[in-house]
Amino acid sequence: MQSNKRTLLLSIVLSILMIGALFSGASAQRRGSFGGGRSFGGGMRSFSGGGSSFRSGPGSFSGSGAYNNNNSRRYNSGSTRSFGQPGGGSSFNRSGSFGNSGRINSTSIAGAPSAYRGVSPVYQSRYYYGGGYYPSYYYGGYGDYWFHPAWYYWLPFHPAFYYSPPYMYNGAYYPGGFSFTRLILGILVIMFVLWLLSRIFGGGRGVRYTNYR
Amino acid sequence: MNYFIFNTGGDWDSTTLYNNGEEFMANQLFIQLNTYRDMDGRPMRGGIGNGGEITAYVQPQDDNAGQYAIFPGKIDLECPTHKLTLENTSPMFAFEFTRVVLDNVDISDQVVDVEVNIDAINNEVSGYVTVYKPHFLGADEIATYNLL
Repeated sequence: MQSNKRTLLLSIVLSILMIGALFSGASAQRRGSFGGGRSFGGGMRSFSGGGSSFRSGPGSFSGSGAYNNNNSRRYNSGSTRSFGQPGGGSSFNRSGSFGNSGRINSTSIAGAPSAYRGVSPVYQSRYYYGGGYYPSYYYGGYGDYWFHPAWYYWLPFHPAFYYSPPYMYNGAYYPGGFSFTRLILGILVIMFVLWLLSRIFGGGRGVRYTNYR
Repeated sequence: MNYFIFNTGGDWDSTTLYNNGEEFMANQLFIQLNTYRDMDGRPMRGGIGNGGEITAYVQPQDDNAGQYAIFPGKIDLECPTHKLTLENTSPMFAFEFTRVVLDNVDISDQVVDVEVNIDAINNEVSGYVTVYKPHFLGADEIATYNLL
């Protein structure tokens, strides 16, 4: 009985630890756990070169190919936890945990549509659509809102109403732009609402009498 | 077919009535047009299309002559501030074929009432047009235009 309880407690603790590890890994991936490209010379290339002190370590850094990729997202992978060399002192004359991740130096997407070419996305995520997940880029406008639509975005009183839904380009989803069709639709809806309110509250049910010379 | 032209400058001396180009000596000119109301007796939009009643005649100065019907025909009423034209060329004088034009604007689908009474015997003159003006915002308007 006592052993069962202990096993159960251990299972719960292990489960919590595993879930915690999962979430921390996910959040590290999202935010960029290594303090951003800035603190490492703005890119992974420095790690891909030969002769790096990090190459000498056994295991995960021997394959430098993964860092050749210019996509800074990979740079944020959890594998960098093994960055600290076992037994060796820090090459950076620091100890303790890393500081804030800061902001990643993002670059514009090479295959982006013309509207977003040369513009850095502020955020990248996955967009679920049609039963699958696709890469999606956020650019900070109201078009981003449609990646996570809410019912009130369909009301012309919300700015997101006037933006088109995300669209696919080169296998990734980009926020839609300003829609003049929706603008006209919004104007019509607002006019209708005003008319309805005036008929209900503005004495529209009655008539007024006027006299002209 | 009659084509009356009534013209007035605002007094009896300047008031004339012509029919087909000839002066028509008359004691009275009377026109009354009323479109039907809704069930509560209130004016409604639709004008002539709602149906209604019209009475229009001229009483000649010749005492022995009876009332002279204006319609089928047309009459222009040229007053100091407005010009009103009523036309009904239907041989059977069907109300639905009446056209009302006020200041060169066809108000047939807006008119509620027209009343013109030029009575030289009793020295009475009156004339007005009532129009139903629907408004997109706010209450609809029933506007009365005084002719005289």
